[in-house]
Amino acid sequence: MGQYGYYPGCSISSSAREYDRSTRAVCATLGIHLTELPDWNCCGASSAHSLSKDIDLALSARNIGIAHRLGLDMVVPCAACYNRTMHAWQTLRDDPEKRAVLQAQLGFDFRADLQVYHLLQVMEQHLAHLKEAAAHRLPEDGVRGRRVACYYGCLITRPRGINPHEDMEYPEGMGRMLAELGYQPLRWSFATECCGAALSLVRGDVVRERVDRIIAAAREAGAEAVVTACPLCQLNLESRQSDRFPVFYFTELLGVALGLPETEKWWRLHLINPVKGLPQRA
Amino acid sequence: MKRIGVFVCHCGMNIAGVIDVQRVVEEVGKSPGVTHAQDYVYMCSDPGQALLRDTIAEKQLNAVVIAACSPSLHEGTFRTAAMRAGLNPYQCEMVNIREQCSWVHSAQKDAATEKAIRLIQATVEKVKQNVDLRAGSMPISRKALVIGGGISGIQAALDIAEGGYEVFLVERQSSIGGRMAQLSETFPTLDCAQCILTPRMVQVSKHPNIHLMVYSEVEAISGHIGSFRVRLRRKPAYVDWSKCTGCGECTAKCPRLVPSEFDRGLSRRKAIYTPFPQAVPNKPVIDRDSCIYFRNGKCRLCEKACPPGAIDFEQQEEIIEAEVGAVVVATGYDLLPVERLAEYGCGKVPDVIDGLAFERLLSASGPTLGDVRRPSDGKVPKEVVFVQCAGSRDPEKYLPYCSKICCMYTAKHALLYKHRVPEGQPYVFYIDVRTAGKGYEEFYHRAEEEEEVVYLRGKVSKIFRDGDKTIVWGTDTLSGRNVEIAADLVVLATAVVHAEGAHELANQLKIQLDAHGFFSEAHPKLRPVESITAGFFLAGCAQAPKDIPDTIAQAGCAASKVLDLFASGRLPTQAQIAVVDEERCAACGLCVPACPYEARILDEERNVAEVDGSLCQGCGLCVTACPNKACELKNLTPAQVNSMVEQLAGR
Amino acid sequence: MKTTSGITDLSQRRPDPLDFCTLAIQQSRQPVSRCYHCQRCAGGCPVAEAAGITPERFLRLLHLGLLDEALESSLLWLCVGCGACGIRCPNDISTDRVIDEVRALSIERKQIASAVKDQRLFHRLFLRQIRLFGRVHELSLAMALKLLSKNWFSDLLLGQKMFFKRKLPLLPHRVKDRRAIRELFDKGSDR
Repeated sequence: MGQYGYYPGCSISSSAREYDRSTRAVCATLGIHLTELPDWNCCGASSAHSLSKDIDLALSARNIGIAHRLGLDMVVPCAACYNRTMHAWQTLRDDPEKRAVLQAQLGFDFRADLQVYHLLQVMEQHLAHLKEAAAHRLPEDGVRGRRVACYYGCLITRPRGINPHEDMEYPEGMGRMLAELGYQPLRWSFATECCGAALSLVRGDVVRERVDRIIAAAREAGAEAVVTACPLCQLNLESRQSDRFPVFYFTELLGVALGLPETEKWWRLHLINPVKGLPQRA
Repeated sequence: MKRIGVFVCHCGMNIAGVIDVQRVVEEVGKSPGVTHAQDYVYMCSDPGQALLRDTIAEKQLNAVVIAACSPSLHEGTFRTAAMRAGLNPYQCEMVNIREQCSWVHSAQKDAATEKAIRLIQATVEKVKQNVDLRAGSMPISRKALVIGGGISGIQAALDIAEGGYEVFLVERQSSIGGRMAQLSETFPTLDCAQCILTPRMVQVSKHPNIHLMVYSEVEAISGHIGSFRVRLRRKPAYVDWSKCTGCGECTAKCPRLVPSEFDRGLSRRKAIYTPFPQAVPNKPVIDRDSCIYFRNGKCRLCEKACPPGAIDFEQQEEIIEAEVGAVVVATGYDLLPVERLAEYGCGKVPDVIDGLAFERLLSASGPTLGDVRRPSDGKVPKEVVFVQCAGSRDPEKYLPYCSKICCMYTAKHALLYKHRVPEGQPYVFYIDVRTAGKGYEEFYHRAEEEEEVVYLRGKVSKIFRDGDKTIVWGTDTLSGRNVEIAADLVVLATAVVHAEGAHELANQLKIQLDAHGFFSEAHPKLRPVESITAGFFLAGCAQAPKDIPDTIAQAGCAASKVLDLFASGRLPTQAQIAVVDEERCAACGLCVPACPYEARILDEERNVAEVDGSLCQGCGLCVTACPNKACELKNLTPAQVNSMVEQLAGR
Repeated sequence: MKTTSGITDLSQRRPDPLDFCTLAIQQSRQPVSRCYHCQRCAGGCPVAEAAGITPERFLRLLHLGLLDEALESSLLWLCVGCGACGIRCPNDISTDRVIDEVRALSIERKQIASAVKDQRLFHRLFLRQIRLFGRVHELSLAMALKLLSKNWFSDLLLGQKMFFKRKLPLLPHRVKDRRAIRELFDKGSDR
């Protein structure tokens, strides 16, 4: 069905456990084979490129090297990891000098035919299969078919060129996919507005302001929940909210559509139980 | 028996929104003589005109009244339509029920409707007594006069001459070329100004159709479009140009030095001089006011030095008379004097100069042969400040308008300066950067990025001298702070103003100037090259500040208007003119001075006053002047006027 | 740079700050001189209000060689690299990349300014963890940060909640080939 090198990122086994679980569960159901990259390292997130371009490049290049040695395309669930890895991949592709240095340093040969995908893209690639698998499940569930605001965060579609598949201001991939599975994604204006990211610990006030605005915008658009595709976005939206608005990972919604039984366990891992926060259905 | 058709136009909601057109049609239809009355949405449209023509044919109308907008807009339209339906165009009259009724009485609908009815009824009465008229035509002179030998005058003259007509090109300086000859390079191409100008100057001088008259001015002009009589005065050069070979010995030997106007005072010229090396014609003149001989009878060194003996201190001015059919005014511009700008040094700071002076510094044939040096001590300036909007966009103290060319030439100056002095730093203070032409925005970016010109947004507040530096106090709103620069040289982009003598010329030609001394165009949008006075055309900065591409375009446009005029060789004359009842005329002659068009003459032999049909504009002043009522206007006779008044009064 | 009356004297632009600024701009490969201050970036920047300076203002400081002020601005450390400025700029200037360059250069030349010390601390601790473990251990990172920034009590409840949901593992995950990671750090510049 599909073989990918899975690059989970540091948050996956800690603050984003439900993301990891739902991802693995959905992929298993669809027969997508995820091989966790052996001995992967942190991508450096915003800290590496804020202090040193070289370290930022090298960290992600090492992960790419690992995937290359396995001969696999990479799939990345976290937006920041995706952004840094893609940046390194494009540099390796376009800058012969840097490529030579990194290849020598890390001991691998870069291959432009091995891709780096965000998890969203991989899921979209398997949409037909998803639909088919979902069609056999019963729709009755408190979560299925809800009105949702798809939140991409700032790093999946920016800067220009990092993501050839999506529009920078009004991306649609996640929404299209969820619509096919019976959800109602709404058009809203804060899909790519930054939540405040890595400022959370030092300037939580800035993040709180941003998060509250994002949640308010989702509400105003008529959404019952926000859907994310990034651990830090999810964490900020849940931990810095002044309210208790539901926030889901998109893979969790896929899991619901597929009728997976373990969804209950995922809700309990959230800081704000998303299902409890959903309004009653008429 | 008149069969009159009345057509009441709605003009969309313009008329119908106020006036009850149905009622108007009803009432007017009752008047005797009105065979047909109807309303229609847009009479001026194609279907409206077709309606007019078809109804004329169908109802065999022999006169029509169209109640609509102003005749100045559509009288021609309807008369042409009527003509095509076989009517004499003067049997077609318009009544203005829009500008003079619905638009001004929009709050009083009933009264407006009444008024419209009466206006139409009055015109119906007039039309009943209209006779067929025929417009005449008069022959015109197909020669043109172009005043001003800068690039606009040169281009207009060439275009007219190429069209096959004779042109008198009159220029008051001793060479053509104007301001463009003073420029170093032109934006955005950075073409050398002389290189692209001199071929045209030479073309003008050699063109068989162009009479080039330099060092000449218009002495007097009279007449009207198609037939102007001009007197041109060629000032005495005190050099016989037919003998002069242009060798330059006289200039070399002349001991008298005065500031050079061409170099904006940055260098000096001799009393006998040619203004610049590429002058056309390349012959010298003696400036009488500076010449030692003319001042105190001594010297005459030039005369001794001249091999062909061309110096002629006795030379007199020459008057040339000509008859022309059209005049193109292309007298160019000047710059607001630096002395006027008190906060920028009052012209007393030597290193504060204007844009044209900087052009001279940049020019390879200029006072420093293209080396940028500051006037005070000749040092190469390392910090140069360019100040935009020096006198422009300043309604309180100077001029309210934008001078259009300064943003571009300042970018050019900064760029060229950087080319000459690579280690120098140019700064530009601006409010906006206006780069509206083709390739202009890209040129400005080139200056900013490639040449690292520092653009600071803010108007300069004060410029003053401190030691050997010139201090500039300004602001950069983009970083929100006040800035100070100790500059070596400051170039002010002073406002473009009218050329010297524009007012006198306007009086002479009897054409209009606007409040700033630029010649007025007939309509700011649709008629930019015609003066309000028929027969006078405008080109170049004489009309408003503009750059070279626009000047060339405008000169061509003015020339094409002249060519239009000349094409048929005849000018249509008015049909609705005055006529004299010779029985009644007592030859008192009061009508003659009353006529503003000089169309009345007293024939002393026959003892009657006469009307020159080709000049009469049908204004009616002579009608009121005549004490014997011996004069009337065709199709506006006293009888007609009386009937109209009766209708209007409601009887 | 400022005269006694508070005016900025541009004709005395010192070569050093100008060089730094020019170098930072060059290395960022962004067409900074094209900025015409339309304010598009300003309106979309999530941290501009908190930083008290907009991205285009920051660029202006660099353009004029006013380095000290650029280095002292909070934007230098509050910028999260969201990229909104870059995609909205009509001249395609990614100010976030310029800011990255200025930061990196300031570290390299040891001209680090003091605004938002804690955010720099956060980044340094983050990288220190990667150097040590190859991956980030959120619990110890957060604790170290709170301790060192003397912010002991903020987010205590949040931390507790996450801990009990087993979202903050006690022990760090470690990369096996930590030597490769250390080498990677030693080759690159890191502060």
